[in-house]
Amino acid sequence: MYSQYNAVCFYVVAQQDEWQLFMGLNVFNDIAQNNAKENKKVVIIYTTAGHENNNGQPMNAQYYTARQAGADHCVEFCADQQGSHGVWDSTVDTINGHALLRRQYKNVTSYCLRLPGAPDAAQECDIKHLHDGTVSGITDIERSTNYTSWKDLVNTLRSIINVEDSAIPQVILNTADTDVILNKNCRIDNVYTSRLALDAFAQTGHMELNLFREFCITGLPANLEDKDISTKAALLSLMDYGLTENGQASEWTADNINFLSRHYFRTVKK
Amino acid sequence: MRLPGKLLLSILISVLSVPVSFAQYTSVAYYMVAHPDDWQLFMGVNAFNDIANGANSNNSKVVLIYTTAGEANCNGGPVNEQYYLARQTGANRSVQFCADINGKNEPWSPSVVTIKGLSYHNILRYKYKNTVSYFLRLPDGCLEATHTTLTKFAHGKMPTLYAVDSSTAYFGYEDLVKTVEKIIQEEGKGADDITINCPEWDWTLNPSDHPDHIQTGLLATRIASKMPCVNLNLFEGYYSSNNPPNLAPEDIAKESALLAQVSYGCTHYGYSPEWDPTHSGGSHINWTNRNYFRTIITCDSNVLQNDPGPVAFQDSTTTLNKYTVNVFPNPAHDIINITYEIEDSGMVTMAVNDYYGRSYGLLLNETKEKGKHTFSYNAAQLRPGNYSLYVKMPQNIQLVKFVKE
Repeated sequence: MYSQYNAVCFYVVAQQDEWQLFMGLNVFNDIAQNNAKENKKVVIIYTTAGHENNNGQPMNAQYYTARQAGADHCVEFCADQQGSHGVWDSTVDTINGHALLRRQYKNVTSYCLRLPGAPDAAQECDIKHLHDGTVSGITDIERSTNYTSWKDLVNTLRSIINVEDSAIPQVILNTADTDVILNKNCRIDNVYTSRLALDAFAQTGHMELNLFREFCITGLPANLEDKDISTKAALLSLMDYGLTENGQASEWTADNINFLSRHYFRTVKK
Repeated sequence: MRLPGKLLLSILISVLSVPVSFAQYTSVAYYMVAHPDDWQLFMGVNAFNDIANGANSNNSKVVLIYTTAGEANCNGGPVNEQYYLARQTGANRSVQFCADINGKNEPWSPSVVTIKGLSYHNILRYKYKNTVSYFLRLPDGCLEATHTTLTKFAHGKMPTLYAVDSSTAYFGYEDLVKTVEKIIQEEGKGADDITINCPEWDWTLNPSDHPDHIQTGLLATRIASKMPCVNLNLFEGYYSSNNPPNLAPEDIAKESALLAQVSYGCTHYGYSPEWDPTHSGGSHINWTNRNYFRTIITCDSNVLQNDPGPVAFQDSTTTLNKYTVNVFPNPAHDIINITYEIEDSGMVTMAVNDYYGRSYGLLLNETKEKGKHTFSYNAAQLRPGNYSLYVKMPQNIQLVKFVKE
């Protein structure tokens, strides 16, 4: 059903603002430059609800829906570069026995798994516990589905991949770098989301893999041209607008602004 | 945030037309611009800092005055209300983005206030935190200025200027000057630190800019010159993209964030984004790494001593004098020959703009002797389309359209 595309670009991330801060240029180009030659489809899979940053308070539905609104603004911004504004199509699809929110905007499809995130960057998360087998299962924060094992979660992601990459010749996976030396100080959520993605794509044949460094890039030299800083800044501002218009605090912070002039990733082909 | 045009406007006038009341601030920064995206593109860093920092204090506010609706109705015909509402939405989003950096979202307060210039005017006013925005919605003159324009009005060529939404009419240019002056006075009551930011009106410093920008800069400067000790920041417009980039990454980020909000406002109404480098209208991100302005402190100088006087802006409805600029061939493939005659020796400046006002640089900026001259320009690098040649001579300024095939 998606055979009109020449390539499908998967972005598998833990947080709603992760691709904007660390993978923003690739996403913008993959979505916005969807011209006849490239003709790409983009699939963004958000594993956690991103509700961790709630000042130690219990899970805050308004916070994660605000973050999702911000991420959606960013998708629209990229996708509307080549045409007029469109309409989102939202469905709850059953995939590998799990009810998942699937949202589509033009050539972009988003899946929101809404798993619990870690309370803060350094703490372990439920995804890691599931990977390590130290918990018997994890439930999404809306309590709509339960994953009984790491294998169950991997198979769910693999099922999404099978749905979305059907008959598309080129497959590209973008996710956080799992090398903790290259990508030191990364959130545990993000690293284990990347491991999940790599396990899910293990059976995919020819593909390209882009592994992004994340929080550690502030210790690396600035490497972006002005126009690329502009693009990342645009994405952060629209993410931020989603937060503030929904009553949440701004994330236009010095830490996040530091990420805007840097972009580091390595490419692996298999 | 969206105001659905004339209908709601008329309702608000009857319901909310109240005397303007203003809180006390010790510091007020005014941004007086022609179009809803001007301050973001050319004054973005200053505006971002003023709004964001002011929102965090109780004594500093920002007043934005948009002179035209920015409807870009360049070919005449019915005004596209949706388009100027889209741009207005983008402008308000930019304001909200800055104001919310240091705090939580709050409701907007839209109203229509009645301001007395030489006559009474109903003007759309939005308040958000420490910001106030006035949308005068005068006609957008476009680069060719073939229809009603602020410039013509300023030069007495039109007795009356109507807001595009028919909310008010200005009977003579002084009526407009007094009205804006009244807004500035009322919003600045109690403040001892006043800054006015506006477009640079000196053509030699800001060549080939949009006539509405220039006229808005002149209007702001005229008002500032009557006020005691105002910091007047005069910003280059379109031409600044020819200057070297001069912004640090964090400031590029601020301007880009503002442009993104403008662009998002436009696309949500179904209009083209102002962002994409491949966009047919040209990308506005060419301006996001540059801010150029000069500052005049009005109590130290006579700011209008170098006022060029009435800008002899020529258009198709004006009879050109004998010192006409000719361009041939037109349409042209590559070499364009430009002939002109000047009545006195002096500086001659030439620049090329595309339809959207994007400057393609200075072709000429030299002192020339009195008499006839010819200049050849290689237009091979221009994409096919319509362009304007801007020629500033000692005796006048002319814009000549040409077509690149």
